[in-house]
Amino acid sequence: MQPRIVTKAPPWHGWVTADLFLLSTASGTFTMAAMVVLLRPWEMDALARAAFLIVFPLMLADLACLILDLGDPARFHHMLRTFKPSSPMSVGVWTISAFSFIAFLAFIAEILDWPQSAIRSIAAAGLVPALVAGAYKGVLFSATAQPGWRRMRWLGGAFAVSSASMGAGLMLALAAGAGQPGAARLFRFIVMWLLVLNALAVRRVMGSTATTGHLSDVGDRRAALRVSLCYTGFIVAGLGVPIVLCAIGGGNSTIDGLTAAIVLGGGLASRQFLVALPHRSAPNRT
Amino acid sequence: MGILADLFYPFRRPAQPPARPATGFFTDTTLCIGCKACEVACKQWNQLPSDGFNFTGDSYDNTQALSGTTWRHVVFVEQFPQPQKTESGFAPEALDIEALLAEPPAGRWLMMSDVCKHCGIAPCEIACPTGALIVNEFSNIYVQNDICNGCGYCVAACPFGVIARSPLDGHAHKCTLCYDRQRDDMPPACAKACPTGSIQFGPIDELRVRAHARLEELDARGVSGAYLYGDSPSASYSALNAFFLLIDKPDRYGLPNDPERPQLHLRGDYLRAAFGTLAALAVIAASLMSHVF
Repeated sequence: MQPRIVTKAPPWHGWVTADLFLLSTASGTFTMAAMVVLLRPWEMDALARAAFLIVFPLMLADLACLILDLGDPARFHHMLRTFKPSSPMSVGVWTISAFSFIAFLAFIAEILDWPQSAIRSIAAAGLVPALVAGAYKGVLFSATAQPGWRRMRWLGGAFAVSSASMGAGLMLALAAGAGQPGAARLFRFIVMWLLVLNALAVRRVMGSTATTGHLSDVGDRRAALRVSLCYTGFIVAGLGVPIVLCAIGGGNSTIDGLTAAIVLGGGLASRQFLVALPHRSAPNRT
Repeated sequence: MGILADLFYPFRRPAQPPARPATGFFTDTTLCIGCKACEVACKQWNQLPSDGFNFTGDSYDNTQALSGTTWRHVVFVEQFPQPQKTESGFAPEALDIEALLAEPPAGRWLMMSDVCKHCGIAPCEIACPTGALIVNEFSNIYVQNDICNGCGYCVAACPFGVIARSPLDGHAHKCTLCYDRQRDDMPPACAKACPTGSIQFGPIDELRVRAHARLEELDARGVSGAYLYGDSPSASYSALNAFFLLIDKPDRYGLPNDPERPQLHLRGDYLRAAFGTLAALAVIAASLMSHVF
């Protein structure tokens, strides 16, 4: 007999899904733009600057989701009372605060047309907070007692790679939209290899859940089968299809746009699946 | 002025009271008669609202679970032979009065008053990003309601499904082990109300001695299979300051068989996240530095 699930699903729903999507997209896009500014500024400066203009509004929307998700939104600033490395949420709050400030600086720098050296400094300063912001949510979920999440030892790694691929997807869409075939080719290449890495990371997440015999921890066998099918669906539709599109769609801006849409849509769908997992496991305990 | 006061109030740190001897609960389930006096006393003392006048059809359990407004829950577990179902309904011979009254009895009724475990190393307190959850001077886990902002991370962290966010105020709530009564040297309301001594309150060391003596007594009386749940730490979880004497598997009472501290793998999880980040960064950097337009 399968032991009864006794944990309560956390009161996290749509706002959290939106937060995961926006934060991953914003941090991934900032990472891509910052790397471009630091490593190849002479070729794609305009594209990186456009990306910096997008990141801050994304972060504003993300902060709104984070606040609205609280049981008492008027107390959002209580998060800044303490810093606890033992709490991934506390680490995340401070990281997001730092990243939002740097995203704001990058936004202002673009609006006011600050010199290139200032933008390079901002990009360098924001790289570490952006990378941590892209990855920490995975650790936040895996360090819980929730069925499904608690065995996902590689979820932090998977989030890091997924955030980067979503940022690269957005950069690909920008390059295709701006009519820059050279930049589009570069980002197609990056998207493809990040998605390959993402597939490996998702495989690790799936493996750490299944091999320890705890996939059935999401409920009965039928629920476990549904979860397995969803994982497979994400790998095939969300990762396999865009990898193929990247490989065959050279020079076609419509295919580039479609690729970016699938990467971002897949990121959103997988995050919604993740947020819903404990609720599916313990439907009467939310 | 009011807004500014609200803004800065949570950052004030008053002096901590001096530590007192650690206290807790020892719940002897063999003594529980399912009267629910503990549930009522808890609701009454803590001024918790009613959960509704519900009929669940699940034994005598109309409370069902601990929640943000229910901090004590009496679990009813019926262990009787199931009547055989026939074409015309349930077979009457399975409910034979002789069989039901036979010794040893063909079935039994387990009852347990469930509550927050006040874990020695509490995952909820570790997870709380605001510092609303604290270990108070009695070594009990206490929610500061003026600090909690209802993020819900403690709910995700609790392996026992105890703490919950209340829909009434949006904050997390659970048993306080009657902190206010303890400060006035009074026992918690549930322990005071328990008519059979199933819920015992006191210094945790004293409770452990009492619990082991009770085990020996049960053993001498021929009650087999009794054991203590949570009185000592396991490989994956700390000792509980609210521990139980059980006579069946923990999951029969709605307790996890092998609770695991969620933060047990935290360092490894951080390292694996860093590895994924570095791998992604390496792909991006290598592509940017090597790709030719």
